[in-house]
Amino acid sequence: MRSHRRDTLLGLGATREQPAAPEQPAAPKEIAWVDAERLLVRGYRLLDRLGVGGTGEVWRARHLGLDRLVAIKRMRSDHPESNDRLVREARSIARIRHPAIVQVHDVIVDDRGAPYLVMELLEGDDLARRVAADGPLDQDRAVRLLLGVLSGLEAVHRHGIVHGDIKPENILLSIDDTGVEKAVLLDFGLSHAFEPGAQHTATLAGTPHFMAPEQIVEGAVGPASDQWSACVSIYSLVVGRPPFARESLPALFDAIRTAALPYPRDVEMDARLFAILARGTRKVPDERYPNVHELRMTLAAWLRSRRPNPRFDP
Amino acid sequence: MSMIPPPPTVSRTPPSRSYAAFDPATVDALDDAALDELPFGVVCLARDGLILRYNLAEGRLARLDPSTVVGRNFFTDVAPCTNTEEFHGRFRAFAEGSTGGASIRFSYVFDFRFGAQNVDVEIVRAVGAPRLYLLINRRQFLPERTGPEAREPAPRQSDLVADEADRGILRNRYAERILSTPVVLFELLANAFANHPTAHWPTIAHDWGLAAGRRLVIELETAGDDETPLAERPMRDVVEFVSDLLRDQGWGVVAFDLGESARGVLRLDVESSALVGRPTRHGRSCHLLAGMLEGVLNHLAQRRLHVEELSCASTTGRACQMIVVGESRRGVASRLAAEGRSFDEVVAALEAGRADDRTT
Repeated sequence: MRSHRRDTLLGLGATREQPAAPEQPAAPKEIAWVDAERLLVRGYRLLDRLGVGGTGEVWRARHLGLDRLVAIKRMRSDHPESNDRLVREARSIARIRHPAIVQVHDVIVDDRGAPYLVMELLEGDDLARRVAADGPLDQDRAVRLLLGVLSGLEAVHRHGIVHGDIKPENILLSIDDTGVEKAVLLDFGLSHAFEPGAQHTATLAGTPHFMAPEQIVEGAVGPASDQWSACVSIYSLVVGRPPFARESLPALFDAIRTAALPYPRDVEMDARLFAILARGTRKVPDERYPNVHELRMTLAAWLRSRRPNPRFDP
Repeated sequence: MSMIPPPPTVSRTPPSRSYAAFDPATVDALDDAALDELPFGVVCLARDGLILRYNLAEGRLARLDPSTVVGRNFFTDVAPCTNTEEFHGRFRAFAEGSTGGASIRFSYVFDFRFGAQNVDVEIVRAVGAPRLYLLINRRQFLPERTGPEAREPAPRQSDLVADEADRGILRNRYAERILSTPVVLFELLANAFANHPTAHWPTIAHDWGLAAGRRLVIELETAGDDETPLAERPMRDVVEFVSDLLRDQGWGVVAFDLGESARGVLRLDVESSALVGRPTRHGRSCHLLAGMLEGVLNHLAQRRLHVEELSCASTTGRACQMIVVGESRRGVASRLAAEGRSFDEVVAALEAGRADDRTT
């Protein structure tokens, strides 16, 4: 007779017939979370690895029951507390339904407590890669794309979550079912729950060029930090480089904390758009827009003002 | 230490900000770092008055942080005293092209809560771009105007960013940002300097000093009553002026010995330097001050010089001694200083090197 045990190789509760464990099991050894040949994760078959990032790695997978393609992300964290927090927040994100927010279908936790996120699979390039390949975006197009992301960010903030790592690399340019180009916000690996008015500290994490001063100085993140990063992202998309690029990390942090937003003279940036981004990147969080909604409304008004006024001409 | 001398309580005339070597038509080509090096105010505006660029000198003289004012409207938010037909009207007409020429100039009075300033303004178009530059040259600092001629003064930094004190920003009564520094911080720095010297520490300290010296130049040019730029004044007057200002700012007494200037070197003796508290492992500790003096002397000489500390009061008990040489002799001077050579020995070696050069 053969017995079944949980598949410790995958550690995800997937069942496969295995020989009974010996009475004196060998000492546990470090095992990759996925074995490339047996790619079953609790109802999903892993197909291929899409990428490795700072917070984990992402695989393309197929839901066996629904025959639907998904993305599965394994968070890279060794701290049980962090894992618990990630699971909680993944569950929060899963409640958000917004076209600009990647949809989370499921959260799986393995025997060791490591979380895996099962997400909507999106095809496309991230905006950083797009800019690297094709050059900076036209300012109207950049703002139009980011308006959707900001709308999604509003929804995220309404659920009490801060993204914590807004940058072009985490914004995917995808084509929806109607053939319309849309930007989708990815990677909530550094997200935090927040309470309005409270100070939240975290370890220094994020992408330096897009980090807000308060993230650098105090490790404090809040919705205003996401606002900063969104504005720096728009700037980077239009100009082709982040505003506070410096040769060394100390110099970069010093510039983020003290330097004025540089006006780009080598690309076209409307002065009113620059003024909006300047306010969204004020050094003191309270001096920025009161919330992302206000920023989005202001950017939308700017974009409307750029369109020619249609004339009634029967 | 504040680099800004206290504002005058009576009117005084700053030196003329002559930018003879500066071509206003090329200002748009300067990057932000280069704009910050200029000793006069530069503000770049969009046609509707939005501030796109704001240099360090203007920030210091208006006592506003450039990072706070970019993106705001110059005429309504930052300098409401300019929202007049006399200033804004001229700007608008020039921006719209109804005033011809590459630039226009006029005199004006800026109103601040800490005093008024007589200024010369030049408005320049950026070539091929829809933005304009204000080049602002301070002519005279005056007490605050309160009569009918006074216009709405510019906001203070604390008006633009409220509740500064709650965020740990302190200002003195002149609206200058200050730092209350505990003595223990200097103790820690001195310890770091004394006990953990690294191969790079002198270079880092020198570079910090150089950056501070470049900014000090702005203060030097705007302090005092002489209208003549420092570089055009007699050398002895200038070094006395610089020495006085350094003493007033707590850097100690810096004596300039010009006796060897004919041989292309200067000697500096520094007494009571704030940087000398205890002996260091490598026997010298005034790299920061040497860098700062280098920044000032570069400006005065209008060419690259190098200041090298030769001996330190912390180990000799006498004044710190420094040598000033041209940039081309920097390497030799640094090497000889590292070998512990005296001023006379270094001068002799430099002379010999020069003779060798002539021979070869």
